[in-house]
This record gives sequence, structure tokens and C-alpha cells, in this order.
Amino acid sequence: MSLSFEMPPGYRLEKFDNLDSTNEEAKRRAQTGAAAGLIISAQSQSAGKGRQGRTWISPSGGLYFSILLRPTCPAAKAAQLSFVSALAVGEGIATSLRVPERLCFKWPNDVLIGTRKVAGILLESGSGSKILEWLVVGIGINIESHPENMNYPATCLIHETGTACDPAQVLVNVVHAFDKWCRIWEGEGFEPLRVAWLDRARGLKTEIEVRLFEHSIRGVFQGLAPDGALRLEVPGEGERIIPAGDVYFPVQS
Amino acid sequence: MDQTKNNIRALVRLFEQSDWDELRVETKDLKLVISKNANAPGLTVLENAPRTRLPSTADAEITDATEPAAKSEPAEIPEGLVAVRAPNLGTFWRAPKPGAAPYIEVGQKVNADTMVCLIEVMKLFTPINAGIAGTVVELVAENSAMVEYGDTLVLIDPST
Repeated sequence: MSLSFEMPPGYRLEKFDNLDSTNEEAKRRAQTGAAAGLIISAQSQSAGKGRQGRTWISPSGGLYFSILLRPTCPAAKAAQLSFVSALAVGEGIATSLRVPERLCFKWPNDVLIGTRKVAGILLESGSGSKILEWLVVGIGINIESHPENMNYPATCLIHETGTACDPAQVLVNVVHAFDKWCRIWEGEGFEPLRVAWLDRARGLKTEIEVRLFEHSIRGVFQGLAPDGALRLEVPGEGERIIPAGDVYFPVQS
Repeated sequence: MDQTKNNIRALVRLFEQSDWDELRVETKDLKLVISKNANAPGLTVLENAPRTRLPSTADAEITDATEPAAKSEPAEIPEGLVAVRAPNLGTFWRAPKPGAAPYIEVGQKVNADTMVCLIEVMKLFTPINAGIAGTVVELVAENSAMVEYGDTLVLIDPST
């Protein structure tokens, strides 16, 4: 095995051909005492998932993996791992892009190339009444193909690099970047992540729509609160701090 | 004042060694709030106030006795009932996805480890357990509502 395929110290990879969902497997392992740093990857998922029970279409040729962590902090702080994850995916794929500058983030952790989504991230944790027992970061990256006719436009790495991409190499690159950003977060707090994320934020200072469950709010995306929540300037209301929701951008003609 | 400082240090040590989320102490001269949640009501920082940072993101801050203890006091809980409270700011979800069966219904018996809801913050989904055995009396928070630290989510009657 080439050295470039080595994981950072503390991480260990278990590969599967097919799983229901790498998050589900990582959660099962968390509940039976697996140590932090376990990475579960699958070549395909039969029940890959996104926010609010949405399906993450997971044919072979994509990269699907979950990282098990045991953060010693409450959920409100651990949620900042959403930004650690987005920055890691961005850094892990940016160098292979034809135009790295097109890489951007949609709040809180979608990774886009231009206006199209290339990767999605979903975090799940154990019971959250106190310090979290465990947390699983699930990451799906479209490599060879991407779904059509979703509620958002999508793309895949092969379209954006122009050459074949080895999912195993992308995985290693992302995990190394994840380890790096995790250490920055633990050592220096959220601020460096906030700055790095905002540097590539899509739609900053423009009007966006945040869809909640049964309604949506429009306003100007003013940036991130110190904890990572979305700052939305709503006409007539002032600034609202939004902890969860789906961000949409106006259709550009 | 040295004695007061020593007492506070002792309380902080006690809190660090405990599994409590929050500790509030009030005497004639002092009001002390220690919480592991940085957004906890009452955690206002006063200039020049002593500040102790605990490990693992726990915060301890000391407020003057003249300061109000909290921006908003938790709503009154009917006698005999126990509130399941939000551990942090986020969106309250009663079911795993739109259209799915809710985790719990009014009248349902629960155990301490029965999951009652999900709280979402920045795409992190955290299950909240009942924390006590009993019967669900009321689902206080609305599905998809934004809840804040300490908000009552569910009321449980532990006697039934």
C-alpha cells in the first residue's frame, strides 16, 4: 500500500462493500463501545440518508463514510463539527478541481462546486442531556455520478476534475484535513473555522431563503454567529439567529 | 472575601466532579451560577468579575447579587410532574422525518432511556431521553419549533 493511503494517527478504517448506511453502522459500533477514530466506509449504501429522513442516493462509484468521535462537550458545541467536516471535505477535494476557486459552502455543511452540491454531511449523536457519549459524522461525496432531479442541483467530482478520481485517495485526503481542522478547533476554538468557512461561503450578504418545517424565512445572509448559527437579516424584523434549517438561493436567470 | 473565594473554589471543584449540568447558589451577598452550557440563562459576564474556565467547555461565571438570576425563568411545572428540558438551542423534532410516527404520544409509558424527541442544531441530530420513568402528560414544544436551553419539551408524571 502506498504511503499516501495512510490514515492519520488515531484513525482506523473498516471497509464494507455494501451497508444500509455507514452512519447506522458507526452508530451500532458506538453503542457497543468502539473507540473514537473508527471510520466506516462502504462502496454503496442501500439506505443512505440525509436531513429529515431524506435519501442520499448511494450507488457504487461514490464515497460514503462515517467517522466515530467521542467529543467531551455538549451538543451545542459539538455541532461545530459540522464546519470541521465541511472544511475537511472542501480541502480534501479542492486541489483536484480544475477551478478550485469554485468550491464553496452552503450553511451549515453542504459542499458545492459553483452552484451544485458535490457532498453532503449529516451528524448524529448519542443522548444529549449532558456531555455527548458519541457522535458520528456521515459524509457522502459524489465521485463518478450524481443524482438528477433533486430539490437542488448536484454535480460529481469527475465532472469537475476532468480525470478519474480514486475514492480511496479522496477519503484519505479528507480524513487528514478533518484531523487538521479538528485539532485547530480543539486548540484555538471555533473562530479560525468560522473565518475559513466564511471565506468560501455561498451567498454571503445576499438574499437567501431558509426553509424550516412548514414555512420559510427570507432575508440577507449576514454571516455566522460566534457559535456557527446562521445570521439572517429579516426585513422589518431585524436579525434572526437560526440554529437549523435548509438554505436555498434565489434562482439566477 | 478570601473565605468566599475558597467557598466558590470548593463549589467549582464539587461541580467539576459531579455529573450535574448546572449549579445555582444564592446567599445574602452572593449569587453563583455554574453551568456546562455557555448559553445558560443567568450566565452574564460582569466586567472584572472572576472567571473560571472549566475543562471540556464548561463555564463558570460569577454574577453580582443584584443581577437578575436569569433572563427568563422556566415556566411553572405542575406539582408532581417532571419536565424534560432542552439541553441546548435547536429545532425540536417529534418524529424522525415528516409524516413518520412520533417518538412518543400523550398517555404513553416511558422509561428513563426512552427517546422522546430529537434536537437539531447545525445538522447535528441529538436524541433526548425521558430521563425518568412515568407517563407522558403533555408534549409542550411544537414540532419543528425553535427551542432554547432549558425550555420544557415534555411533561412526565413519574407516579403513574
